[in-house]
Amino acid sequence: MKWFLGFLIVLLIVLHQDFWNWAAAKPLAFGFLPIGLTYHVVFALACAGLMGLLVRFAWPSELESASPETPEARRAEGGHE
Amino acid sequence: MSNPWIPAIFIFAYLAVVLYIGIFAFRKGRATGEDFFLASRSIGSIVFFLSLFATNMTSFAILGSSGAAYRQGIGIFGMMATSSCLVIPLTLFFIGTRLWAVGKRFGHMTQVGFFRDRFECSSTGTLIFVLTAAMLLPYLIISIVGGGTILQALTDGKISYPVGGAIVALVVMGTVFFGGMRGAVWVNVLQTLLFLSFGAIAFTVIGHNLPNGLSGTVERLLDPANPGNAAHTPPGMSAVAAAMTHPATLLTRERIPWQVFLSFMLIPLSSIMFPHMSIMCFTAKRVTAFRQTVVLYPLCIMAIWLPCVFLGALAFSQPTVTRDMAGESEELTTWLENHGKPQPGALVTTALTAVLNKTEDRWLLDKVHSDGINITAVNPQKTLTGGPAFISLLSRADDAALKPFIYRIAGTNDSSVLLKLLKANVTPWLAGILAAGIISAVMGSDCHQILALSTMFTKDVFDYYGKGSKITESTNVLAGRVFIIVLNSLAYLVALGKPQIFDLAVTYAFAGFAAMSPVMIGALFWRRSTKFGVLASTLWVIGWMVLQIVLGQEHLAPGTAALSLGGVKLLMVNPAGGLSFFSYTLVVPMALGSAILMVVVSLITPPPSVATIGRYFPKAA
Repeated sequence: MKWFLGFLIVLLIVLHQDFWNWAAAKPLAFGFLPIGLTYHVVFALACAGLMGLLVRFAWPSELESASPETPEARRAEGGHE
Repeated sequence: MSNPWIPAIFIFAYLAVVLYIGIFAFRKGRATGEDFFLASRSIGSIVFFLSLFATNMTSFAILGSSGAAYRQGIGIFGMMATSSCLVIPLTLFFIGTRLWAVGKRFGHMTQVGFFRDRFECSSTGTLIFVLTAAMLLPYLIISIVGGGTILQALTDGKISYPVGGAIVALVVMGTVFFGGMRGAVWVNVLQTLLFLSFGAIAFTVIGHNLPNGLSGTVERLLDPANPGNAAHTPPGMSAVAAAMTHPATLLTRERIPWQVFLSFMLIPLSSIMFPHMSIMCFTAKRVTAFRQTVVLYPLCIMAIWLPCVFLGALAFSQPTVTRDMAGESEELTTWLENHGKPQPGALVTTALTAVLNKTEDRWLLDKVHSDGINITAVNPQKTLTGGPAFISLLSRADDAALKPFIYRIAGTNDSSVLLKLLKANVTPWLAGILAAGIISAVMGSDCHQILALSTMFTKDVFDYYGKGSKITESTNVLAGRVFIIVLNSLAYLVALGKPQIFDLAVTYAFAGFAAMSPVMIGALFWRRSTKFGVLASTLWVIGWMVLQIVLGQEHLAPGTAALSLGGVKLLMVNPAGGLSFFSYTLVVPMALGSAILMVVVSLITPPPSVATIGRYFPKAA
């Protein structure tokens, strides 16, 4: 799954360079939104989707158990060393 | 907007609420450094997201984005916004969560504190402190300049620039002085909600009030019969320069060279390297706070940037907006004050002077030579003076080659485009609410910038070098508050002169912070990275920053080589007056060079001690 998510990240980086929309304004979405903007609106939604997948399948759960290891950190946590 | 005091009333009400929240947070706080600077690492998920977002959004997201779209079209959305939609959440997911963990485990409160411990380096840490403080300080100044300018513009000058700047500086200072991180974070909740609403309301109202509606305005811009679209392209003109003469290209990406578009994928790497962003990562109560943040982040960027960029591009269709922007352009005003003498770096008025000299409309230049800023133009409604008068006269000129200069002069004042659209299309009370949204964007990040600088000065310098003298927690907080007053006062005094050098510094700072990201990535993910690799990367970035400032002061003409080596033109001056590296923006050589140096120098120098590696990479140990 992590390799697939890595592939999706690279794919979105490539898809961001939408040179095929370079000189095109039409078709207009909803009658007013140029294709270049529409494409990137969809791209932004895809980014949110990708982040959802990363959170679901690649979340660094080992970090959740991080706890203070130094006197400074323990003092900050609750006033005890 | 007939009564300029109506927006002012809304803004003052907003500022009063902000100040109250800051003081209220003061009552909830404890007198420890951890509480003042990091809100005791206790921020919950939703507040963390809203605050982190406000921390990263500056007035550029509203005013700068619309201004850039006014000149370069809708491509700005892809170039700046959706690149951030992808890269910033990724950096928060991969880097932000790890930063939170090292902060929790080892008690780090700043980037420099982390680097010093991870790389076992003292003076290199101090060097990074100097670099990041130098790159962040201009933001404080720019924020105050922005706040003063916006208040002045929204109230038609009833609130002067120095008073407006002082009001913004005092409210920001009061909020963080009393409330520290907790005050800033609570204020951010209000600010983010306000400026997230801004885009939707502005888009709906302005779009509704456009003379031809949204669809009609777009169709007019694309209509081949539109005189601007039939503009003749002079032979030899580059594709991008040619596109700039056609209004229809505002709705495409033709005005942006593909190399520049590609380069901007690296710029959002700067986000996590801004000290106020990385310090925010330390404040979360649990690492799970990042889960919602990374998913919502792209959607919120879109919600703010999309309406601003689209409206900025469409503003071209309102000639009165363009004329207003041009008439109030600072470059034009300076040119008139100097009786038409071209100023260094003022590209548009220099070109205008040259064209006026050759045309049948030379009388206009003669008038500027004689009258200067006192130039007048008699209109049916009223007599105009100064910049607006010159623009009125220029619009009546016979030579068609002069007409595009109105748009080009307006482009030098592009960040005012949305304010002008508001004035032309929105009722005063609604403009007041929207103005509070704009001020929110300015102040949201400003609070964190000043708090971050105060935290850095206190922890990385005062506390670090004064450890022998047993500095107490309350002394740390006191030092933080003193730094807030000193830094903010200094920033205000510098901002009074509206120094343009800081615009330049801020522009370069994005590339500088992005180029420092290999240091952070190495520190968190590569146990073989060394302090010498960090030093090499840092010196590389410092070298580029100094080079850019030095070359920027030379005001070289576009198209000339700023730096050549063995006949190869390494750095060229681009049409906007900035520098480019083989058509790419400078972030490319800066970030790639920094990454290469980090890897190569680390590999040929001794690694950190086994003990340190064991602490930061327990699995590997």
